[in-house]
Amino acid sequence: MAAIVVEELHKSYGSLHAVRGVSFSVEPGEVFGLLGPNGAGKTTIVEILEGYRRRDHGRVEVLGADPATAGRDLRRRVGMVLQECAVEPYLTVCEVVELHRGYYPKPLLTDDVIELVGLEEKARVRVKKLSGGQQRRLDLALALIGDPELLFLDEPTTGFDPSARRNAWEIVRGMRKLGKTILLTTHYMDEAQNLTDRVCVVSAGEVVRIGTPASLRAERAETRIQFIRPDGVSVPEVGEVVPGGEDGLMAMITETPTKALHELTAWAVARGLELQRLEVSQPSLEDVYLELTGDE
Amino acid sequence: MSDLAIGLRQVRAEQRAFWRNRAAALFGFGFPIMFLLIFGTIFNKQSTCVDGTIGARGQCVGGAEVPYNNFFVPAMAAWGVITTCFSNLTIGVVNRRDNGLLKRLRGTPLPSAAFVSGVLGSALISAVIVVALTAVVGHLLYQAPWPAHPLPALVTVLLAGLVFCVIGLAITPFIPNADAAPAVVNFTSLPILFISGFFFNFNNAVFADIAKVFPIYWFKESMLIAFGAEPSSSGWNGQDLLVLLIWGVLGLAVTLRFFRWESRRA
Repeated sequence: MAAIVVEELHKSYGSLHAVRGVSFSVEPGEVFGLLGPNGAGKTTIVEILEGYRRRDHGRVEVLGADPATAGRDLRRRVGMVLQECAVEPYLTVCEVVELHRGYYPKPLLTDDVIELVGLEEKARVRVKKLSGGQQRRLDLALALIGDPELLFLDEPTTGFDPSARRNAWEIVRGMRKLGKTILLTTHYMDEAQNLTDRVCVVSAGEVVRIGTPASLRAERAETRIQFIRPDGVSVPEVGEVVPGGEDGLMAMITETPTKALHELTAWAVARGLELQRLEVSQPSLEDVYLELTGDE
Repeated sequence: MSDLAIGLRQVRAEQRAFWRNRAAALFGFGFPIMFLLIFGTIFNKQSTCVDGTIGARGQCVGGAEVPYNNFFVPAMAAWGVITTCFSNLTIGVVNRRDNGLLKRLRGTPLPSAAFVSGVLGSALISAVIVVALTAVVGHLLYQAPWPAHPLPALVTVLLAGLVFCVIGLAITPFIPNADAAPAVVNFTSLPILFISGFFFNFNNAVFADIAKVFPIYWFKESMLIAFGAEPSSSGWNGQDLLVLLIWGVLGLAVTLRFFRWESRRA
């Protein structure tokens, strides 16, 4: 049985049709990424699954229950990291985690969870005094303390510095190894690429693509070749010339990189030229994402 | 863990956070104690007329002439209950609604009732403490008598405290955001406090009639009786408590119908 089922989900706010017939399902043990630009409807979808919002139409199932009516039993099995969500500022990290621990039937140990999110040095510090990134880690700790089967992470690493993000990724990977199901939303393509088994790209309330990060990247077969344009010579166009992104950088994309590269380097070698900063790259998930969501 | 144990843990956490938040503690305790010190000192040894009207030559008609602080201590104790249960609670809940704390709790298995019990239980503890503190300060500095009817005094404080908590919850849906909350609670409580005669007895039938619509007036009356400032054999006045109860039921109905756990930003 799927951990999450969403079928033909619709939600409007007044005249704004925010979610337009979204369908997907998440298997147990899967890390599923919901990607999309701001206003695409990601948070609305997640909040319907979390039980915060009522859907207008469609079928939704979370761990076999309808989140709109399931209540406390479902919330015991689910952990959530919400966007912008305060914690009692005058309690310490340890006190808040311990308080939340009491809400669940089979919680983890407070010290373990605090250590897991890397807040052990701040355990006796009041929440008020934590930095934004540290508060976000506390959010993660509160989502984990109940030892949930399913985790909703709505932009869990926004505001993290790079090392804190890597750390959060390790936590998510650790959760995955323990067999937890995770649904996360993110703006960061490297996050989706590194963490998720499958991603669902939404744009303007509709699903534009569902697949593994690798399968999405494979949709764009072109390889990109780029280098510093040599002075005073005209370079053969071995592929479609695209904007280089910075001054003096020449970029071409091709579906036959071996042949194109051979022609290019043969041409350069024949003239005794060294192509500075020569680089051959596959399209990233970000390129595909930007193309799919029409932001390019 | 049982729901009762969870509720008690919530009370403890709320109390801990309350005392660490100096602004909240000061708001709840500062005003009544400060006014007790100012007015109590100014009018010490003077007398005032309770439960009657002031006649043309300043005499007390139909009531009792008592030392000013015998009247003022229970009045300020009542105000302390109103600041801790109504003002503080309302500001705190609106703050937590706006910053998403209430939303977070809704996503946990914590029952709403347990959370609300925690908030109410903590406010009632603070209310009892502020009443006790007021009585001690009044007794030590101004020789005001100890409450003449301790049990009615405690019951009145707890019942009124609960009623003002519920009224506080009931007005939160009508407060647009956290910035507006202190203004709204002061605007809805201070004028009624004045016309209810918390500071002086005065002759103004219109104000008195308006004041009698609101629970603040009846709470003050029941406190004067329980503290012994107004003559009474038992310390109980059924009418005062009944009006408070009616307001409590109204507040509960409005809360259940309109209370919001999230701010209206989205």
